[in-house]
Amino acid sequence: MFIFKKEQQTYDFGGVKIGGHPGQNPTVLIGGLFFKGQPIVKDTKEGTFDKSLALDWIDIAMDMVEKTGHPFIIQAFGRTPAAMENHLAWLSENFSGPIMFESTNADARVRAIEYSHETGLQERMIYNSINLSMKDDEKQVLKDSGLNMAVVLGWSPRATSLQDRMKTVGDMLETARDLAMEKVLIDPATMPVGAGYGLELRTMIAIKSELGLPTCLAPHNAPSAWRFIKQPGLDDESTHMATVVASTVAAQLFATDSIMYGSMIRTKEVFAAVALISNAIAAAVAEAINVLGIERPLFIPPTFE
Amino acid sequence: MNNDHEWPPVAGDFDVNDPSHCVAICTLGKRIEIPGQYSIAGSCKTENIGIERIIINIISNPNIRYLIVAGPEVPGHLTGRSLRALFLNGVDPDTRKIIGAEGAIPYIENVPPEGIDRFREQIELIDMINVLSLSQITEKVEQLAGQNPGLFSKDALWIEFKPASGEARRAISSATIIILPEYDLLLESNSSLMAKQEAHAIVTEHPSSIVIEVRESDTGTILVGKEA
Repeated sequence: MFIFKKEQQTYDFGGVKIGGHPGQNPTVLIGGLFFKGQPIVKDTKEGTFDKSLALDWIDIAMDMVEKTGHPFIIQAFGRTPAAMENHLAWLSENFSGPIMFESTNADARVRAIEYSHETGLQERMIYNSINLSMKDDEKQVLKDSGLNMAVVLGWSPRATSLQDRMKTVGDMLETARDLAMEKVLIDPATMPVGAGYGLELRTMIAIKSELGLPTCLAPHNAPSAWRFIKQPGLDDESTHMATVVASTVAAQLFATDSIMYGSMIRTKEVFAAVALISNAIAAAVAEAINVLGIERPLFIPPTFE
Repeated sequence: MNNDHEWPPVAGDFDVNDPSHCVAICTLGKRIEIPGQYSIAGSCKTENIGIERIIINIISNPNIRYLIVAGPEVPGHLTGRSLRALFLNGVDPDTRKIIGAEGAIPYIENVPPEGIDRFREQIELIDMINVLSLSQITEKVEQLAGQNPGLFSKDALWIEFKPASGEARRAISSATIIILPEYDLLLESNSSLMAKQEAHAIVTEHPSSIVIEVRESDTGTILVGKEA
């Protein structure tokens, strides 16, 4: 929990405020839907899924939003253009918050951009992500789409030091501006355990203190690829849950404004953990700004006491 | 007044108007020219040495019975709130910390306990923190002058002002954590403030610590002189 001297930007992403000083706005939680391996998913190519269970998951999330005050965004996956369209079409009817879309398939991403444009969903669609591997044709589609919110990924295979990673962030920000992205979320990119995991937390501090821009992170990627919890005796849901929760609240304490926590199957537990730490941040920041004589509105989380 | 001494004993950023007047005015973070009659009026930036100087100048003049604390509160130091806490609660005899003060380093180390007790007995503190209006301040001065209880029952108390070297305070204020050495980014542990390391040199310790900081800004390097 830190007070930055640098002025901090806050943007409205489809009705959800992200950014500001730690404690100023509630940490936003971004839950993943339509991941391969999720019990709701039936066919990743077609984009078929258990709609009833998906609705239950969204209901749980909205209930936790109401209880804790932490806003929620859905991170929607789609393996193919058809799957992406199916997912977005259903989500646009059954979820009213912002949607961050993502795919490893460029055609699926392009379809999502086009679909947002055709259906007028741009106001609540966040492109994930502008990064070094983005090709020119996709850039052009994004630029022409009217979509103006995006994740900017500060990752490069050659950026191994903080200053290199910040240079990558700067380069990608420039690309984002060229593509008419007005609201950006800077993601310093979570690295695998033992191969750089933790350096994104340093970069997070540098982004906030040097640039003052809203941030996001997907820290669940570290435990999800961690071999330690794949061995017999540890490869169970409660152990995985503990590591995902730990990585999430670590990011929360390191001034991450919005956090992708992975599968929405863990929504309830992640929200509860973040709501707890949010109380610690609120009390600590309130004391710190008092010492500094700063007047600033803070997010006061419910204590339930 | 004692003829062996010159009042006020401690120099500072203030104006002396009428030493026989019963009202002193502290305008906290900003020097404000006060029209009309008063005893002494000036700014006070720090919640330690600044307050010590006020105490010493007040207890050496038994005519002063009111201290108006007005003007803009000093960010970080919270000098006005510290002064108010001192008046209301006094100082912890062991740690020398102003009880209940919220400022960054609210320690009274250069005034003995009898000086602090005397200050709290002699004056009534009038809380006008963050009041900048000249008319409101002068109106209050006139009102207080009209209810002057007269000379304090004890003689002037003269205390020699010998500020400590500042080592102790510097030790506290330098309690920083290096977060990102690549960007000279430090975390000040006493305030949670994330700030750039600012190279500075102490140019004087008396009447208070004055440092020159070297700061980098968008327009180049600037030197900033300020009270530590």
